[in-house]
Amino acid sequence: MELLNLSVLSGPAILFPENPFYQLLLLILITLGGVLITVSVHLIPVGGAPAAMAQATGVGTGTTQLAAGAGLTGLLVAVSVYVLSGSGLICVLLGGIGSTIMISIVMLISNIGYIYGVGVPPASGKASRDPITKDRQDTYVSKGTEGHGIPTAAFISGAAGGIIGGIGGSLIFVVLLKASGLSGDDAAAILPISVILSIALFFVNAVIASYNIGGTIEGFYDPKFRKVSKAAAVSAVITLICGILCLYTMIQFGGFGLMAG
Amino acid sequence: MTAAKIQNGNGKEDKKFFLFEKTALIGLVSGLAGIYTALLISFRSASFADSVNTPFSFAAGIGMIAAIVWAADAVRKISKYGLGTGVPSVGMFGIGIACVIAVFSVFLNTIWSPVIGTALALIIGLVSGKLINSALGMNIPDMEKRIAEITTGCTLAIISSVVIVAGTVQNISGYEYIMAGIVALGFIGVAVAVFHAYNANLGPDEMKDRTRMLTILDASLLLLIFAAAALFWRAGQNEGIQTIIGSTVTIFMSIVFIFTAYYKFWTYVKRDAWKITETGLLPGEEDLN
Repeated sequence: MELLNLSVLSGPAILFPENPFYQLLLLILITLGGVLITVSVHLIPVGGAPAAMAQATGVGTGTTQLAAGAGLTGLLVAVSVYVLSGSGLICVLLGGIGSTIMISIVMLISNIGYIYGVGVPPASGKASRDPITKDRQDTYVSKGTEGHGIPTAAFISGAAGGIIGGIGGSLIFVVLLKASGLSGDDAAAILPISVILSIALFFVNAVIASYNIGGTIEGFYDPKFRKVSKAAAVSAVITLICGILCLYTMIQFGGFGLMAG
Repeated sequence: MTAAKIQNGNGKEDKKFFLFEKTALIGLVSGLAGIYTALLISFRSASFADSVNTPFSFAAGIGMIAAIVWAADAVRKISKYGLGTGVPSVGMFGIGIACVIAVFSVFLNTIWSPVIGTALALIIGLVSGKLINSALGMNIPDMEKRIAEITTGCTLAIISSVVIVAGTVQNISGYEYIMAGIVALGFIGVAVAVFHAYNANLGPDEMKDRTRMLTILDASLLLLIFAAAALFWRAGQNEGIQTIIGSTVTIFMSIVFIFTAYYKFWTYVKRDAWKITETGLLPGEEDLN
């Protein structure tokens, strides 16, 4: 398969650039990447400003910053892996793992801060029992707060969000790079542009998810998570519009690079 | 009666098409005019085809500042309603779409790139703002117009920065490397210049002129960085003194802007502060015990 560099398998014809529907497939993959980013932000426990004062469950910063931090780490891993290995599939998977490691470190360190620094036990304000460990939560929530710290279910949800978001971001990057049709040294010129375009799409989708959840969410068990389909639809439309522009840029750029080379 | 009058006045302003409001008109017209002044009065070097001599690149700098002020004003208007996600989120949304549009329109390789970029940014901003406002249930008045304004302002700012550094919006060899660097810097630089001022000044005593002066200060600092990049790039080509006139003028202009804006901002801060007190000396060892 040309797209993911899996020469062992002989995939369907649509995966080769000669097919007339190849560009349509690339566009669908970019849209899928955007939707994955939007879904991933819904899974990450974000507390916003209240969580910074240990008055709400989650990491104490905004959705955009948190998603961008983890997403950019994933993208950095993906780009490094792509430059070293040249394989699209490994690049996408390791991008997801890079994001997961980053978001897990953030959640672990902020939990250490909440437990040993502020002196509060991790407790969820939205669920009376932790959906995974079945531990009692509501008795540990301090009066006047909506929970604090990052309990087990939120932690696992955040790690899952990291892997989905990282895969989405890396997928956009790989598809944009493959759209140019360049490889090896020719691709060096186009690498930074495709990274910047995927960062731009990452931020756009993170903000769409952030508006949908209204700034704070605890994870997959939060009632706000049910609104995810709306955000996914909006994200699909906006990413599709931006994806057409990105694809046109990369394809035109690929032709330009081929002429120059 | 005064309240009714103010309400009436606001109502009248809201009825006007959003591009004909004063800030929008100034940002749009001076942004485009600055870019085209710099683009049209430029000379290609005879001996070295990659070098574009733009003696009027400071005009694009002024255009960049005007576009950033326009976008920051829209951020101020939209954030007053309370987004619930922090002021930076709307700035990052605008810059994300603006970055895609700016890269697309510059790689169209035509002199009409700034106009095409502006039109696309307006349309995509309106569509995405409408989608977010109605489908996600934000219900913020005029959200689509403000997002269109932020997107267009950011697009104009990024295209201006391309003109300041590279001197052209038409492809020259090695352009993709320069473009990537400019857009990477412009992405976060323009975003911070757009959302920082309101985020730093927000509160019940937020004043329009103070916020705007801080925006101009941020934009001038960004302009200084771009002008320095342009100067080093041109100087490295060793094409004679005439190629670095534009960037040198931009550097001096941005330094003047920085000091003027800082002085004015500090004057406004002193005007709006209830009292300015000294913090005093640090407590001694015997005071702590």
